[in-house]
Amino acid sequence: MTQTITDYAKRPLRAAEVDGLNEVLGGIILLAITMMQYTSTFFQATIRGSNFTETPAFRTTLALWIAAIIAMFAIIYLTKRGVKALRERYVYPRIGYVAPRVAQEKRRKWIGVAVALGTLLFTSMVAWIFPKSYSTLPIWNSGVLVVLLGIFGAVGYFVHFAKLGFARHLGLGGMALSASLLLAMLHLDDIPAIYLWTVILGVSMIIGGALAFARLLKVPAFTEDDAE
Amino acid sequence: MNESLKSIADLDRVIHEPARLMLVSLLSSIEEADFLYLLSETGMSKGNLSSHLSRLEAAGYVEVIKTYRGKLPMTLCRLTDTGRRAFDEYRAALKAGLEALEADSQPATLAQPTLRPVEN
Repeated sequence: MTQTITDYAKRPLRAAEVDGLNEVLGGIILLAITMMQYTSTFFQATIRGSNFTETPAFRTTLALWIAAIIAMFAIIYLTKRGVKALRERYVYPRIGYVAPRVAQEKRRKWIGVAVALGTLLFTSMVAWIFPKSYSTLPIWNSGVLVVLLGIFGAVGYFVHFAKLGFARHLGLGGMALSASLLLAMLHLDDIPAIYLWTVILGVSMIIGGALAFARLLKVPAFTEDDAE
Repeated sequence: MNESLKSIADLDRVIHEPARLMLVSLLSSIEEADFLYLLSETGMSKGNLSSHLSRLEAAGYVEVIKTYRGKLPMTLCRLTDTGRRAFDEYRAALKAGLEALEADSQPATLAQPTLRPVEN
């Protein structure tokens, strides 16, 4: 019976992921964060000399950076609202509405936060252990960081696939890993390679999620009055 | 009466009925669900599901909330605290009863002979 209840507990989690909208939301958030980070690199480039705050370039890029931060939060907020509206309009009339238990949800969020922090900590440690002289190490080249990110991303998606069984997570895991390997082979610097990787993954997430959503729309919608 | 059999006879009959057991198991693993989700997950007919939900609601195990999603009617269902406790007790009683029955039905085990190394 315990096994059956565990299976039942997985079903609402599957129901929450079947529409692909979480991927669309995640992909848009990833792209928004990348955009904000990317503009911050311009901002950092203007910090030159002791009176850099008085240069026009600094002021322009500061304004751009603040606008990017505001845009990032606005995009995240609007996308979340949009996903909620799409679910109410198109998803719940097709598969019904289910809310996973709060404890389960909290656990998932904490696992997500822990994985993100672990990834950040690990990549920071690697970057710290292998400082600028890392290029002299035989095992290191400028693609190592992006490959590490690719491995973490792929493992996350493969675990997701093992838990919920959606093939698109397997595809996204493969995409995360293969994109990182491809970028490493191009011998780009770490930062541009990471930006490109997040853009590729973000776009893949949006496409994968949108395809899943389109597939769900083929299921006929019904109401409680229609149901027999 | 055999105690293990008695614990099975004392099972909560509101939950023990297979369709309601399915519903309570499903609701125990989630926070809440609407009528459409329960229909699609259980495969019951609308009338059948309504009648079992009414029975569970009458026992105080399920809370049924009639609301609207836009202009469409929506029925939200969730297990109450009483329902969760009753289901936990039901599971514990069923498990204990089945384990006791299994233990009663095992043939008495014979003492295993001790093996000693052969001396040449």
